[in-house]
Amino acid sequence: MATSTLSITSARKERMERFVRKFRNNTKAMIGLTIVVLLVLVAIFAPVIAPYEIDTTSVEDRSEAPSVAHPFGTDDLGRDIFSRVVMGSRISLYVGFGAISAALLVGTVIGVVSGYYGGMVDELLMRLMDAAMSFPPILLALTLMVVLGPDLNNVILALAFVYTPYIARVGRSATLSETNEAYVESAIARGESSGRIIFSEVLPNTTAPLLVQGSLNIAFAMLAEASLSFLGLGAQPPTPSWGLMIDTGRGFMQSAPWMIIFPGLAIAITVIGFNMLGDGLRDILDPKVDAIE
Amino acid sequence: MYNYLVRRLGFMLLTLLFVTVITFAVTNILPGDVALLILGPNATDQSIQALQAQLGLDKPLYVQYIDWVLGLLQGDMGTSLRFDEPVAQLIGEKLGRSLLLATAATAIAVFFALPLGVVAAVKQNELPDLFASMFGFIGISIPIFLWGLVFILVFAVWLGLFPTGGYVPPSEDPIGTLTHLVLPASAMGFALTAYIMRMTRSSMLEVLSEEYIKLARAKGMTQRVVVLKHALQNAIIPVITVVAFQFSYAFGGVVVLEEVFFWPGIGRLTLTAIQSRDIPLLQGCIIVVALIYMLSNLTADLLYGYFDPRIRYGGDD
Amino acid sequence: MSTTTPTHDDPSSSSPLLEVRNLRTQFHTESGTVVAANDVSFSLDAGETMGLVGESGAGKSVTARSLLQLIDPPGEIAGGEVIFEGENLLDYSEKQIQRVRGNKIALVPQDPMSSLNPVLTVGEQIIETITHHQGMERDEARAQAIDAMTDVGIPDAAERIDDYPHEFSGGMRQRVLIAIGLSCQPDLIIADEPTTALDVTTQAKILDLLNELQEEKGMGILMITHNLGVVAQTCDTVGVMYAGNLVETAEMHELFRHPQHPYTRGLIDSIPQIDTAYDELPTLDGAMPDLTDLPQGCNFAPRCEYATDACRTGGDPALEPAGPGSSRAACIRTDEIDLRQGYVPDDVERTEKQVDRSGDPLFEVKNLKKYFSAGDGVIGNLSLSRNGGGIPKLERRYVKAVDGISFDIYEGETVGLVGESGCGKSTVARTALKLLEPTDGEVYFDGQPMHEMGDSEVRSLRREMQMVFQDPHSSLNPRKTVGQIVGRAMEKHDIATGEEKRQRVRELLERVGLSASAAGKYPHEFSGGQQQRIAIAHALAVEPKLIVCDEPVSALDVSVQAQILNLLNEIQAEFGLSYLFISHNIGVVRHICDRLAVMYLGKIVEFGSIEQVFDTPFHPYTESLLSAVPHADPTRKSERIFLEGSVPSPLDPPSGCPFQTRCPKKIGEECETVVPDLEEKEAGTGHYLSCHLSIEEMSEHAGFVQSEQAEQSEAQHGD
Repeated sequence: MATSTLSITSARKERMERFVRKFRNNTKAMIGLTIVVLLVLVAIFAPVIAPYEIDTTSVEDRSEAPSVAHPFGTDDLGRDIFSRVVMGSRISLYVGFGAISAALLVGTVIGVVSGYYGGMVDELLMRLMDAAMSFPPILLALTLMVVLGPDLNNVILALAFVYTPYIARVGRSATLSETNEAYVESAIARGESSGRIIFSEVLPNTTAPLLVQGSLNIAFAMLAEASLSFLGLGAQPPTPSWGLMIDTGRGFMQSAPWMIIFPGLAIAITVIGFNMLGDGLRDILDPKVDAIE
Repeated sequence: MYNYLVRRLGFMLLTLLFVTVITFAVTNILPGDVALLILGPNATDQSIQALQAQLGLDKPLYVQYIDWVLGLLQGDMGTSLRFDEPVAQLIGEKLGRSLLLATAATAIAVFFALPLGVVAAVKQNELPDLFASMFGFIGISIPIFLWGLVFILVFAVWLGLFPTGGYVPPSEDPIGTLTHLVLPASAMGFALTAYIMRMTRSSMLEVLSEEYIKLARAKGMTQRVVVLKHALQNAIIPVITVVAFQFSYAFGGVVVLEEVFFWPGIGRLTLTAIQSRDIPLLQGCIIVVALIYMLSNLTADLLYGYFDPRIRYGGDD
Repeated sequence: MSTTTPTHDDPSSSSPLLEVRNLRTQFHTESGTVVAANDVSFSLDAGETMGLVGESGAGKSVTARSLLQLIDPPGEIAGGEVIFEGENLLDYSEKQIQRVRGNKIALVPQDPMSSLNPVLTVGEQIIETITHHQGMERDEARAQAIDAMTDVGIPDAAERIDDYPHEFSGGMRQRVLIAIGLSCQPDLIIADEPTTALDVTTQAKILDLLNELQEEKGMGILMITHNLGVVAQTCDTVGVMYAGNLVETAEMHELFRHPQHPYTRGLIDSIPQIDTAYDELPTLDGAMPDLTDLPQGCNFAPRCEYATDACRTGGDPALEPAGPGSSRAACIRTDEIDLRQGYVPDDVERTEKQVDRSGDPLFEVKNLKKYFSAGDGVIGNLSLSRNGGGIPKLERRYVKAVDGISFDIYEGETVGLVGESGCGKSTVARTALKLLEPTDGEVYFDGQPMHEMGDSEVRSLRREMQMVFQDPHSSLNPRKTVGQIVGRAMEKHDIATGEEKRQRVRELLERVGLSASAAGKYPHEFSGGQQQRIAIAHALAVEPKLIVCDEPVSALDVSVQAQILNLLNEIQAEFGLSYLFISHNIGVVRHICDRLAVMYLGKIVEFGSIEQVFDTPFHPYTESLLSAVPHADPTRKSERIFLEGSVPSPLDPPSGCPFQTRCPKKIGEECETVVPDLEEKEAGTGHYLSCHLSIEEMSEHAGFVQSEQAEQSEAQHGD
């Protein structure tokens, strides 16, 4: 059996190598990945990187322009903006990954079940998803936040709810295209149960589009968190959420524009990173593109 | 086309039913007793109960739901707790302004996005495509409120070209309405342009690889004819749906953007309703926005049907 | 090299209409540069039809498209000349070549379903070609477009010109594509597999049309095809391509009579003929090499029975004159070997397969029905009807895909279901196996009533019945290794586990002609033919009694197809299996089946042994179907029976006999009102027919079969 196992690993390795090669050749994916990796590193080592305590206020250092001591300047309470932006990366990532992981978990199941069974189940589930998608994401999230109360974990819950239908849709259409493949019929003809076909045969083949949708939705979720916090319904002071920092900075737009500019840049770069990664993954994993090769 | 229409309307009604259920469910688990909220902490139990009976809050939830839906069907959305005015009237005042903002933003977006998307697709992987691609990433990655603030900072605060915010009714000063509209509409239009451009590009790319495009080339058609006649007419069809979606997305965006620009539309009204726990008003705002989403989707479906002869002349299939 | 007389060319000019010299087209891929057309040279005279034939990936389409510079990146034309009217088209600028495309040289593409622009009327698509090239006024161009549509046999062209493509059937769309090609009266038409996507009866009509048009207008035709039958029916000269190289060019009759390249011989032999019985089809071993990984010497050497060391090491052989005629072949041994003798089935060794039909059948289907609701989704299949005015009524509509089918299969027997696309044959297979829930009817397996069983009972019965699908690529889960796929079937039905399972998987893979090490690989690492072998191993893994084969060879190239058919026959003999064999290919069912059912519009019109179905009395549909098959042998000319119109929609089937709207032998009102029963016309023969005609009437005008058999003996003995 040794030879057989060996060749399995080599086939897997080859598949992996192919993916890595394509990934490397895709500028978008590479830029996106670089940004995301850097961001994750910053988040992990945030306490080490941040030169100041994030909630140390200082009256004499109030609203200082960027300088060597405070590269991003200080805010209206004299807190170091650089430190706060660095620590804020944790919140952005926490919300983005948290909300989308939950949405992926629920949405995939709904989508795959809906796509596999079709008929009445599909019709009802999909109309329900349609209904949830009839509310602009921000508005739905806002309303949910009112119900749940402003808290970071509630932001995750609300955004998970908002993005589940999007994941479910993708999961459904991926499942539909997979169930058109004869291997599913072949499994039925072999006598497999529906459960096994869904989870063991179909699901592994739907990971690519879900991965793409997931990484794009992380970007959206991060934007939404910023918007919610900006409106005062997300993270609460003194949490160093980027959206919240911008909200505070609004009042000092003329005198201390850096209070908006740096958290704004942080949001933009982070979201661009996830968007590029998702877009690149789509190019790489798209079966149509694959077929051309 | 006839059956297509019937089917679309069927889907929409079912979705609408779910929309009312979701709206009602979400707003009814809001914490806080409404009667208590209205009467203040010093109210007696008796007066609270009386008010609850008056508002119908003592009835079972499903009866409340049915009453509410029946009211909706007659255009009665209840009375705002905060303003003590009919919700329908409150929304009616503000809706037009938000529609103006969202329409202007979508129009700006379509105007720029279509040509950009087409050029990017035709020049795939060349300089124009790279430029468009970068612009696209920036557009979709920066939150609308940040665009708003940046626009205010640059064009209002630093350059002083436009007012920083506010609204003037066109009946008083049409020029003033426009100058107040420019910044919020462009801020939102900027983000929408990015979305629609990306969709146009990918739709064009897909169509350009179709067999009938190859045949058009094989017939000796010039690039211009191939792109503008053969490809664009097909590629535009899915873009219509995206434009409709973006229009309603813009309606979500107004919640934030109106706050930034102090634009007194339905977005700010929603925020007010949230802050003051004004449930009837909140329900009304949410339903109206969802309804606009569905209507714009229906419009998209109709346009879709019009532009796609397979549906227009699809007969009874 | 042409034997035909140019009809409208200057008789003094000896230069051909088109001359291709050393054309080389390559594609840049991640795994290096792939040469899709390698040093291709040929010429074509005015008024001549040249066939360019080869299996998928041979480079024939790329060659054809290169002539008009229609190669998109990452492809590029790397060298050579295309001389047309004395000028090299490859030197033309984009602007110049645009004046040639569609005007002097027109392309008729392969797929009628996707090649027409869905948002433009067919008229617009013809008219724009005319106005663009000939600077005509629209009115004039419109009249010319209507003429072109009439020329290609579109009825009521003047009314249909403003219709959209989706309002035409597949065959009619192909006619529109031809009309586009003809609209500017080009000197040359490149027809790229113009009939591949069509049913055989439609194909016959389109080929006939092309032949007629050429006679009338005298243009040259370059016919790209993988089907030697099409070549035999339409071409004057032929070029055979293999792995990017042109390996033989010859006058058409000469090619079939005396092929000069071993590949040509193999290709001709691999096609199962509809009037020849074989035990085993002659095959070419292996498959065409991957273009990224070509052998050192002659590309065909690894599969060639005549190959020597010189062939394997000497590089690509050049295309040089071979044989006594005008043929040219790219084979260094062409003068030494004689390929005139085709494959002759050995009558001595042939043992008639005996099927015992005295007992109960293994599998029996009675009055099976499957209706699908039209439209999608729960709301989707509702339809408003306003028949007869009044208030619109909401009603559900059904597609009667299978409408009352009965047949049986005995142990060790192969029963075929043949019919054109949409006749419901695949639905029969799926419904009989309960992969789809039948609407009505009874299905017995080994006497057990499957239609009464619950899900779990059916699941355990699946061990006895397996299925092999049309597209092997899609029938194997891409995320699982071959060993996992085949082994899972054994595990599922408790046949073997652990080491025993792995051992049996290896044995099984070897049995179907793969190496045991295939178990560790993923499906995408195999060619189409090998994947189909894996699918067969997967079906065999549970030791079933019945295998349903749904078009198992139609996705495969002809040389690979023969290998799979042989494998299926061997396995049947070895394990005593029964097959239900679904196919649209008459030659294939003729070769593999014992009994055959012919389907039309959800019903069986004729059922009997191969001999009975392929001989008189015929059901009129069977007769036209058989007559439409293009023979890969130019000496056989059959009289074709063309069917009027196209298959009616199963949403709204005709009254009475389903075939009555197109039947050439329709007798009158009875056909329109009474549904004929499927009955034995002569008791005890087991030959069932569903027709109001008498046996005598069904035996008339069947001249094409007899004359063929007479010619056949001549053809087989060479000349």
